[in-house]
Amino acid sequence: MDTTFVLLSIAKIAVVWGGVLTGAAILVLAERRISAWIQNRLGPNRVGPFGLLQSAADVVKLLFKEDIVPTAANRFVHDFAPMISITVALTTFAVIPFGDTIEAFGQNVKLIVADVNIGMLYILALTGIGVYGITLAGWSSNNKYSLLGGLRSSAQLISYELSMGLSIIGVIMISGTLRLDEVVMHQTAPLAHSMQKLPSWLQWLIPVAGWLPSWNVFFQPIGFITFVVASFAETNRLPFDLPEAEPELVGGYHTEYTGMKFGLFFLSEYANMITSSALITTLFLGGWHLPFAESWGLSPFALSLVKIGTFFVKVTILVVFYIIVRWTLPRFRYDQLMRLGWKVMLPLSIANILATGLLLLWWS
Amino acid sequence: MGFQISDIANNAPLFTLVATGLVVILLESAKSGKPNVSFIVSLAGFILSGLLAVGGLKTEDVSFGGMLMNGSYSNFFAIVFCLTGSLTILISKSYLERFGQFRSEFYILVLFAAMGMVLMASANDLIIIFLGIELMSVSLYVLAGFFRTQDRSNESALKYFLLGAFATGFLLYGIALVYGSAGSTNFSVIHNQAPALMKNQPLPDSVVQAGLPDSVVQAGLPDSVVQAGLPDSVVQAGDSGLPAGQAGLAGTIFLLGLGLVIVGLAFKVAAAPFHMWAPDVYDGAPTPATGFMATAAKAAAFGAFVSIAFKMIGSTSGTISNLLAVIAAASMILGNVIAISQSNIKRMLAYSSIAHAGYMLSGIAAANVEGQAGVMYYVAAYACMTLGAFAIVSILERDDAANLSIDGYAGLSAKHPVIAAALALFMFSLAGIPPLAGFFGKYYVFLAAVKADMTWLAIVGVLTSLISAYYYLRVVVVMYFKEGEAAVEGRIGMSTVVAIAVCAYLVVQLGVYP
Amino acid sequence: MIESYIPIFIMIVGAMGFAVVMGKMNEFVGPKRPSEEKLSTYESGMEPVRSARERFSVKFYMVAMLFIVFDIEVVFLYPWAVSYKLLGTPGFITMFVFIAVLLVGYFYVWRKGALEWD
Repeated sequence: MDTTFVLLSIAKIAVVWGGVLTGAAILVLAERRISAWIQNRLGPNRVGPFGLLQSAADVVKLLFKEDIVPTAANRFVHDFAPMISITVALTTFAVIPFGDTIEAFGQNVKLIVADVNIGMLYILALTGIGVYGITLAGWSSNNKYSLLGGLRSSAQLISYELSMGLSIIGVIMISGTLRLDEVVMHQTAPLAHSMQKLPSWLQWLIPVAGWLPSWNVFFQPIGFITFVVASFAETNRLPFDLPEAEPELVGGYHTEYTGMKFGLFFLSEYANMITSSALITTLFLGGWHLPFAESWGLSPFALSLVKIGTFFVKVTILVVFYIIVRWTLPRFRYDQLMRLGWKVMLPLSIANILATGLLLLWWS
Repeated sequence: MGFQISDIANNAPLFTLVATGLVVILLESAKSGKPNVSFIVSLAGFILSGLLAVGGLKTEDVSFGGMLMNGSYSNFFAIVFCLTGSLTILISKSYLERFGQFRSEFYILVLFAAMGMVLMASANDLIIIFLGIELMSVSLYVLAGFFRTQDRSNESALKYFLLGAFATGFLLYGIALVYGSAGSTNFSVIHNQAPALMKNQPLPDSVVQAGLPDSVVQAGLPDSVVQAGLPDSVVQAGDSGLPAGQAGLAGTIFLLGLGLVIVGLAFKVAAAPFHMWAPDVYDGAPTPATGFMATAAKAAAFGAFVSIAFKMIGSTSGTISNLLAVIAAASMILGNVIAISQSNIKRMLAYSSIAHAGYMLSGIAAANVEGQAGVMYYVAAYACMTLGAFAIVSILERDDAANLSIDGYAGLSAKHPVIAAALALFMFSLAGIPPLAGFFGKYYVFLAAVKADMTWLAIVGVLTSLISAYYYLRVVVVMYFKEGEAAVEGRIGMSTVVAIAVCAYLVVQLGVYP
Repeated sequence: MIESYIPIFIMIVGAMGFAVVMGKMNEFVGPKRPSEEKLSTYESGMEPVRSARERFSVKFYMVAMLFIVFDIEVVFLYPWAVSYKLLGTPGFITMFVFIAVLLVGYFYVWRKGALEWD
């Protein structure tokens, strides 16, 4: 069992990294093309068909750049910071189920890298470590822009980590577990099941909405919104990209980085985008669950593929949403950002927990 | 999750303090800058809590699943804390106004510290002791640094915080070791285990008598430390017929843990080898806060100390008694001798508080019923007289902290005969002159020591009391027989006068009708 | 139980390897033509003035402290949330009291202006 288990795990890791890294590469291109489209430009279209090889060219270019570490910088930490960022970005995906089970090598394989019982805690813990990468990068450069960027980002990240942690709690209360695959399983029943308990004056909703799947987004609309906003902040994406804030901080924490070390920050930002999209999908949008897919009469193997495809499509839609938001909204001012985090998101997510608690009591 | 109404009813004093604290915070947040309201609400909360504690003196019960033990013991201490708390609040008003620092946070912090103290006194579990100590200490750290713009105040807060955090570390490590050897943090459970653990410990008494728990380590743990494995030895130590080596290991760890717990608590009461923070902290902190620290915090630490000594260890512990006796003797000698050379009255009172910690510890070291009662009486008496003394110091203190030297009190009797008389009363009581409260406190404690065959401790106590009479009476002498210009700036606040009167009344009352 | 963490371990080791290789690659394959100008700290073309590691606003510390307070609350909420359906009404009341006490502090901090940033 052990060897097979290890081999299977390695295979799953390869699949996940292949997906995430290729995804990140394509995303960089997609982002540039979409932004060009929004701004009525062409965007990169020369390297390969539709510019598809642009990212590969970028990586090669970054690899052959000179590695510049400023004399004033702390060399060890300067080297270490981007490594933290990318390690975190690449390992977070371990507990997210990207499909149900699949028949392979003569056994039913769960499509999740590490089936641990504390999945959500693991993700929160890694998010916490991720802060170090940016903070240390800002500090080690010994550059005023970098330091400001690093400080701002650590303040921002920890502020929004709170709302992120709090908005998940509603989901945990509903599903009663920290395992992400069980959270998904919990969302597969039709909504009509849980609607039986509705008071009589709301019973008319059952035929109207009962066919919907019981995705958590329907039970936790506030939690969903706060979680999505917090994810935007956690990935440093516009409108929350103050740590980078090109006009004021000339790049922020990675001002003093060149070559692939800069590339690692860049890569981890996009990998984080994919991971948090996958997390939103898993927690609130039913993960790999596609309503009615079971009733199509597909073979188990094909059904598994359909489920993986569903997951993929959901994540893609979210990622595109990320990109469109970036090129549509202006950036916050820093005081607005902190006010939103502490005075709106935090009370909102605590209120959400109390409301969920009351509703659950009434429900059962 | 079964908690009952009785849990809340039993802990009514505690919950009153909690509720008052929260209400004051809310009031302060809703309408900033109205400290008068906070003053009245906090005072009312303390008085209500104290009355509830008086009402609860008769009931004996455990609550929250055996975590807290409510009864005459805990309620007696709750009364002491509420008394000192309300007196501190009374003293503080005019003092803080004079320094332009009259803010609600002072009352909030006093309330929270008192909460921690009540928790400590009613604890029936090491975890609760820890929780109470932290709640109390964190509030006191901030209280010590309450005058944010004063260097002395900041210095005192920082010193207190750093050393206090260190002591907390000792305490927590000790709790961990006790838990490891006894298998529980609950007093009753440990109490049942303690005799077996103590009996099988192979250490000679002399090691422990050397005074430092570190020496326990040097006595050498058996090689089987790792192999023995804690849980096993715990189980076996609970039975009686067991291999001596492993039981000895559990016993050693238990003793080591107790030693560390005692170190942590000895720090909080400022007993001799762990007293270094006291003078600086007492000197720098705002005087009402100092008074509160010196009385209520010390009382709370003794509340926890007595709980641990009597409820947890029981009276079977010769080694622990000897350790405590050594600490007590050292505190008495050190505090009293150094106090002689102090010219600053706050520092003098700080050293005297070290000495008094020694007197009280000798009651605990005696480890008999008289000792326990004596310590409880002493705590109450000490709280009244010391708080009264600090109240008078707070009246005389001026902005630049100049008027703190004992010589500055010269001629006080001519200018303010009533205040001088009150201070003289407190000083006589601190020195242990009959028929005041201080005398009977010492009498009970030393009586307990004699009964426990610790006559040497009682002799040390009496001798050092004689030394202490010198510096206490010097203040009286300076006040009455030296010419000078001891001036009180501005008016003396009504509330402070009330506080002093209450203290003075109690000192006489406790003394005459013990 | 513990073996479900093996894949995570493999993944972390792999990711670290990837990170180290990629992060150090430039040192080996990139050109090395350092100059004093190039290695000086970037400050929009100006000569760098003083070190960057000086004192910064106390507000960052405030945020960090508040974060710890609330993050510990979150940590307490997790086990409670997992077993919420077992705990029922007493569980809700207990946690409600806990959160209410924290909200009093939150209200205080808000009114005292610790959350203002300007």
